[in-house]
Amino acid sequence: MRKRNDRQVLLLSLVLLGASVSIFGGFSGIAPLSEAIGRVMAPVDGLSDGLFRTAGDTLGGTRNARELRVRVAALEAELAALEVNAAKLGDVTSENERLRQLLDFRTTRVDLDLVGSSVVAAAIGQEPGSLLHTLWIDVGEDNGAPNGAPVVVGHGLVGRIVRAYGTSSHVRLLTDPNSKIGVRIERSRATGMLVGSPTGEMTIDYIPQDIAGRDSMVEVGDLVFTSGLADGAHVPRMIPVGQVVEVRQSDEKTAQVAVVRPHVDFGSLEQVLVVTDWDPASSTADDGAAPDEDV
Amino acid sequence: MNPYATFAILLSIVWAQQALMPHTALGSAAPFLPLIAVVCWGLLRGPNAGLAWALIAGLMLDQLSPSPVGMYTLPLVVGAGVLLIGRRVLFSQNVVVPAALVSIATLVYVIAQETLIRGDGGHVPWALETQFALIAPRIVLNLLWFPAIFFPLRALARRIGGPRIGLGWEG
Repeated sequence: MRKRNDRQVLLLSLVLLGASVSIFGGFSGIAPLSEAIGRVMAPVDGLSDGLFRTAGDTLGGTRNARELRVRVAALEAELAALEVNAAKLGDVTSENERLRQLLDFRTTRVDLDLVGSSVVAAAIGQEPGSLLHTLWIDVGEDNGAPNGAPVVVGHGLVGRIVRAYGTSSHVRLLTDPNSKIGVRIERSRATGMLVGSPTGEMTIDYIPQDIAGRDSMVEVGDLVFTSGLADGAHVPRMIPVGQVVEVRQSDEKTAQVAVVRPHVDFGSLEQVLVVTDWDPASSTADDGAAPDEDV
Repeated sequence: MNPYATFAILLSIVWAQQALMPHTALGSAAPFLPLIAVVCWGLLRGPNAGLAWALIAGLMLDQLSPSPVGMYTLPLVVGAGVLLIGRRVLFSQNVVVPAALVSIATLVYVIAQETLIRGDGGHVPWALETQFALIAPRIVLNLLWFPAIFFPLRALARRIGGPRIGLGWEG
């Protein structure tokens, strides 16, 4: 019993001593004492400090991991939404670009009385077989798009409507074997008939042979525009068609044949412009104007 | 076979041809599912069934094209005519027969449609390289797509029962 009391007294003394050291630690008179006690207690302090810190870190780490998982999930969802938005933005940007080109075409061809006489249509289908090249668009006679109306995009001529229904139409592309359009080679002013073929190749047949001492009728790199002549399909003149990529002799060697690469990518048409009316007289007045000469 | 089911199957094949096949094109050539289906069905159910499918599918395709009626029907029916020739060798237990019939049917189909395009005033060069460029890739593509059409149709033919023609490579 006495032994137990002694221990309690010793413990109390130590606590009081510790408290007094803490309180009077600033007095230089007891500094050696407090230093000695500090040395004795340092390992105990370090041990307890380490234990409490580890326990705290573990608890805090668990809580942080849970928060981080929630945060990662939220960020992943945000990233997915941003990726979808980026894809939508890309689509809208390319559509905007196409519509701008159509708008440019309309503004540069005011002389052809295109403003107010054209409608924007969307391509909605293609020919089921691959020997013929046609396109469905979502405007028809109800929208003022008649049979025979030329169809264009910002880069140039696409083709003509060959069958117009109420709210849809069939467009025969320039590459279709039944397509025939009167064209002019810009440099030499030579005219000819542009025809398509089942392979998608476009050629200008029956270009006259070159005359000695004069510029050649056709050369690789020449730009080709519609002639506006009603020898083939009747379309406004000076609409870009393509560029000559090959010149060869006809089978009879009496004429030249030019292979034309179209300006328009027929495989990726989305928005097109249907020209419902134009003034042939004003379109022939501006002989040299090439509205879109970039290739 | 139920005529409504026939109509639905052919309609979906024609839809797939117009909506999906342009995206699988090799240059200007694309596989022609209606022709493959006609040949397959003719192999599985007899030439008469194949010719009936050719007629119905051809009329459907004609409705989707601005070309004169018959631009698809006639070549399909003529292409399906090779089934009448192939009928004699169908029991030869030869794996090559179906592939050969698809190839010949494609050749006949292209030539028949070219003839109609020329008759309609279209421009189809006679040059050999043009003909090769028109026919060869289409035969290859149709052969590649042949199994995708044949096996579902074979399963269908087995399901509905009735007369059946062997190919020599059925399980």
